[in-house]
Amino acid sequence: MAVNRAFLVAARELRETIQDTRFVYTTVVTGLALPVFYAYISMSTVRALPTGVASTMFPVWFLLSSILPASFSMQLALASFVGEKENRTIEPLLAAPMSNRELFVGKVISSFIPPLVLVAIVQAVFLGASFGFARLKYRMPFSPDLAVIGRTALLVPLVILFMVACAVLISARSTSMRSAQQVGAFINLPIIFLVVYKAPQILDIMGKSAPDVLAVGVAVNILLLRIGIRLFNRESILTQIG
Amino acid sequence: MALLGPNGAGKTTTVRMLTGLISPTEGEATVAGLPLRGNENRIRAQVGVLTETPSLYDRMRVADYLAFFGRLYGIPGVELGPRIEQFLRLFDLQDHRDKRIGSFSKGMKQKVALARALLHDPRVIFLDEPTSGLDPESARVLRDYILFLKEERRRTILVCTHNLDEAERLADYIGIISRGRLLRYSRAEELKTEGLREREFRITIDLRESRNLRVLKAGPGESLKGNTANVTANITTNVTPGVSVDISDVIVDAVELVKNTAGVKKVTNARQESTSRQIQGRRQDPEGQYPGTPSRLSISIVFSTEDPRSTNPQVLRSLLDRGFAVISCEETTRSLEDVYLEIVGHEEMANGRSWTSMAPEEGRSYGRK
Repeated sequence: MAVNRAFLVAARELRETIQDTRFVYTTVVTGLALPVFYAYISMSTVRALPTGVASTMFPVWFLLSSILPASFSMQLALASFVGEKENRTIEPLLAAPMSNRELFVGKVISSFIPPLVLVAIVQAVFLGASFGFARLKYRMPFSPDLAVIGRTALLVPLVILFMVACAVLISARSTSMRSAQQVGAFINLPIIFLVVYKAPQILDIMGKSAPDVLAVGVAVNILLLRIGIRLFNRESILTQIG
Repeated sequence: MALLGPNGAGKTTTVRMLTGLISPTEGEATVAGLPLRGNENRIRAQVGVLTETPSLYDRMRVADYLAFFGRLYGIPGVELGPRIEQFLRLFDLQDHRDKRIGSFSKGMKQKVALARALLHDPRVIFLDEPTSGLDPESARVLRDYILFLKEERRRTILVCTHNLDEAERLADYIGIISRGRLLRYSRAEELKTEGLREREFRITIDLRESRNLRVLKAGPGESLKGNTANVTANITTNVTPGVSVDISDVIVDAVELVKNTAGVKKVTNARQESTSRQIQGRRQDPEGQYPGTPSRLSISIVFSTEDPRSTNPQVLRSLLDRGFAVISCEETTRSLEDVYLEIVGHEEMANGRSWTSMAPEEGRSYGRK
């Protein structure tokens, strides 16, 4: 596999994503405004609640602020896989001398990286804002659990990849963005809800056996992506677009 | 080669198979010297494809778009820039190189798509409706470039088109496809004469140079000036202004001659080829000319024969002996459109589909009557 061509495809799509004003606005709102808001609520609850409860609430807010931007990966992947089919811009790409796998990898990378960067920005802003609210506004010590931060940092890429893999599977049967987004919402929203609702338990389980959780996550993603590669072939795509 | 066929005939599918995009269910093909099976990626590197719709990234700038595909096709960096500039100039896009493709007209988008298809100098080029959406000037530039690629660069080009005139002008070979089957594959000229037992010829006679003006008659109450038997140089200068000259007898005479020649099956058409059937006398202008008179007065007769080798010389001899100035005798060929409609229409009828249902107007029939 010529990695170069996969990166060319990824670089073009990344550039397009960055130039997309919808993504820029979303980045500003979710990358700057929301984490500050979450950090404010988080620090307020830490200050107001007893220490035991507060220590549970901070990781939840941290995970919540990380998972929401991670879910954008599904939208990006759907735009990359289904949007190109809908606009037929995928045809010249399919006619180019690159394998299905190269094209697939390029598209997965381009769907994976922006949410990952966005999550990193969100987490940094959240931690910075939390530090600011704690030290400057509430005059209290700020000592986040680094283990929790580490576990979340490991979990989020797996969630992003899972979303991308789901988008690939959806795109195999979909030729319009509208229908793909509708199907995607059935996967996206329950996952966000589940992760947020069960955040303490998830973080607790990860605390006890992080390698096992990560291994399962990696295995599931590999399985889904392998199915995705099998489904992503020129013939079926061209049959769909007519 | 031009691939012709009705919508849904399988043209695009054929192109997709030959460009390694989809696998054939059976059969073999060689593209750019490479067997199709197992060489799809190498074939894609050797061919250029213009898809039916331009399919461009609207947010990208033209130069960036071409650079992206140039890199995908592995064009070295030092060559890529000059080559992009060359195509931008060729398709008159150099002033738009930094504009986003989304702001372009359909014709401009088609040009960009063409530049993309040709950028890597492919050995085999597949063009699906290449001039669709282009203005006449751009279409001509493109056609000229296709001919340049074919004749100077010796590239193999397959054009899928519904424009039969374009197919005839560009292609050495014509393929007619319907319902996934190649019905015909031959040179355009061969296609036009294919299956004809009788061949048609058109003879053109210049009346102004003919010696048999005795058949010319003056209009009622008027007479021709001079010796009509000798007025051969310029008939119009010998017509009195206001006089009409009826030449119908000349045509009848010529047609009878042709019809009665051994070997002639039938005369299918005979007509005067000047602008009007009658020569209207005009007042002389200061230079002694009669403005408005036809510059050429000729008749053409179309006849058919099974044996032109022996019949045609006899036809010509009898006309010349009678004093007719025969200026040409040429075979009339069916148009490619006639042939195409005949072949495809026959195929449609063989498949139980009403041919007249394909006609755009009710009651209109296709093919030669």
